[in-house]
Amino acid sequence: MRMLPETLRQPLLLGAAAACLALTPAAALAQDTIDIGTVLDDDRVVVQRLLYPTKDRTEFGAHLGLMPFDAFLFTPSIQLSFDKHINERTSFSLLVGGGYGLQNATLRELQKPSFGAIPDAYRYLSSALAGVSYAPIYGKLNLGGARILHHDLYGTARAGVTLEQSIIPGGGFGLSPTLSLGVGSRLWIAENLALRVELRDDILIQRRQLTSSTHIKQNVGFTFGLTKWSAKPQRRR
Amino acid sequence: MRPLVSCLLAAGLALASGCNDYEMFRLAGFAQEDFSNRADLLFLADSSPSMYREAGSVAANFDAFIERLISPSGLDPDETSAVSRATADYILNVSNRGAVVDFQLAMTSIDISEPPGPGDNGALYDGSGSNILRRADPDVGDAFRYHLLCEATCYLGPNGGLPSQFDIGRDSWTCGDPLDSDEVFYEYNDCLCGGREVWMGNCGSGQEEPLEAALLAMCRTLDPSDSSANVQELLDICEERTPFDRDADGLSNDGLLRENSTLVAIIVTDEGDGSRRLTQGDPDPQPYLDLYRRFPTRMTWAVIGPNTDRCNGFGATRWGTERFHRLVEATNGMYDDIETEPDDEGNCDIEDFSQSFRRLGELLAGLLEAFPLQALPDVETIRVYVDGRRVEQAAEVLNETGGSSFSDGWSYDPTQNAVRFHGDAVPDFSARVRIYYLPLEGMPRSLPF
Repeated sequence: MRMLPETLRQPLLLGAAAACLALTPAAALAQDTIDIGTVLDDDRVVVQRLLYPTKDRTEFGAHLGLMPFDAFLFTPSIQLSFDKHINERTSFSLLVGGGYGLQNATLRELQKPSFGAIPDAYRYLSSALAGVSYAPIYGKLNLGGARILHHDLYGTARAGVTLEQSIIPGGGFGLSPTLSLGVGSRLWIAENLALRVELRDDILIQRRQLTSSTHIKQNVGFTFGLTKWSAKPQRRR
Repeated sequence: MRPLVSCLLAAGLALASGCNDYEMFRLAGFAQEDFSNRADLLFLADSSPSMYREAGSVAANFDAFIERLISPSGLDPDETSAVSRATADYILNVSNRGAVVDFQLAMTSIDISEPPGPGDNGALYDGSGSNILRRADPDVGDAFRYHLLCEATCYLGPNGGLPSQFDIGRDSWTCGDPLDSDEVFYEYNDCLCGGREVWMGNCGSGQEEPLEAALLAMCRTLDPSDSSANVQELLDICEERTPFDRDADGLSNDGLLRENSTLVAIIVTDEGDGSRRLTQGDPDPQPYLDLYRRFPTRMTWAVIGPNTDRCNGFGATRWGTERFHRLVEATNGMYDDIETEPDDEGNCDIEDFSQSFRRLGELLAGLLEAFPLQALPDVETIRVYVDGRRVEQAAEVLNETGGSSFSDGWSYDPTQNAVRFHGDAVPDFSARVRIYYLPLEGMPRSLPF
């Protein structure tokens, strides 16, 4: 077959294609529009899949604590926690702990002959607290573009007692009513496992035996721990 | 915005924690060496003519006193080797830490004069070759007697008013033999001093100023080149109304006040005090006490002095004697009468000084059982620990004579501002003693925070 010149071949092909489209019947017809009104902000709901729901789950934790801010004592501790989550945001919280306040460099310096002084400081021994936690924030973190980390942020208020001891020998013990306020975060690392970090301020009303006086004392510290969660409740179909 | 708030909250909590309010207690006894067995004995010699008999009695009794101090184990220092004596002392140290005194002796006169004689204006007698006699020195007793009998006692008249060796039954005594007598005889002085011209005529003025003499003796330990404010102020005070000259006299008594020691001022006198910084007739020695306390040493007074309520054959003033009593009371020292109670005819004699020196030994041992505090304590807050074991406060028991004694434990002694141990509670040398207390007047220096 004698070939058409190149300049005529392309327009002929485009014309054939247009003819074919015109002869093909329509697959769907446009419906009539429906007036759904104005979509308000309140009508929008972000549908996010909660990979780690907390409602009706319990959380047991073991934590290492540190109170590094006292002027004279540096206190490591171990804390055990139990949380019963009644909904996705709120939980009842129990916390018991034990530790021992160690002398820091300032206190050791004070006791040298050049100063010959020692504060009637009280070292942390143990505490038992109960209260509530409220986690208004649940979020995800993109970790280097490779992994999504689920976490929450919570605040907590607890009350209980703290047992402390004067660092002066024979200075006595103090069992102090305690209000504990804190903020923390959970970072889920597995289905039933989370890392938990918390900054806590235990406010003690402390009666001191040597001076027969009452003082407000604050134990500010961090806890870092691992919490084990009960299994997710089964979803209803 | 939220992370910023969180950070501020965390910082605020941390700061609040660092500002916890703690009462600051004082801590004493951090080092065992502070529980010192050091005693610096400063004898204030009354070289008035009326005192030569007393000086002889002091010399006779002091020999035994010195030997008890040197050998508290009871061993005869002349018959035991230094090693065995040291061993016995060590055992005694361990079993009874208050028994051994690391003492040194020095002597000055109670005269403040211009021009000064030997031992005047706080200078120490040094005719024996040394102005400070130490426990370890050989023949410390002879050296002490030399200062006392050859330099610091006023002898007048034929043979200085002393008897001969034959008058008191010491026919066999020869030069070089020990005194071994309750009374000094002139042959002994001739031998000890190396000639009568040495010990005769060393008489002081009639104005006794023992408080001022003690102060000037302490002034002579100061270093004029020390630019610290306290030292310069003290030197200014030392030069007020006295012949003291900081350039000529400074450090001339170097070594008199040892670190961490107790200065025990000892005076045997038949007169009251007439020191120049106090108004005549004023019985209160507080200005001197205030000055003494500016020196880095503890101080106590031991006085064998007149009793103005009886005998008082030398006419001591009541107010001058009262100064001694108040000094003794303020420093928890001792005061013994220089004369006996009057006999049926109303006559008094010189007291037996052996009893006084026994009490002086007890005073020195007692000093070692006291633990001075650097600040006035709230007594209720005192806690005492020995080797980590709490020592309870001793109970004070009044006896039938009106005196008191303590059960085992500790007591607070306000006159010394010290914690004093009693009975089995007295710690030994190896013990770690810690005393905690809340100071009434705050801390003496700023703290490192």
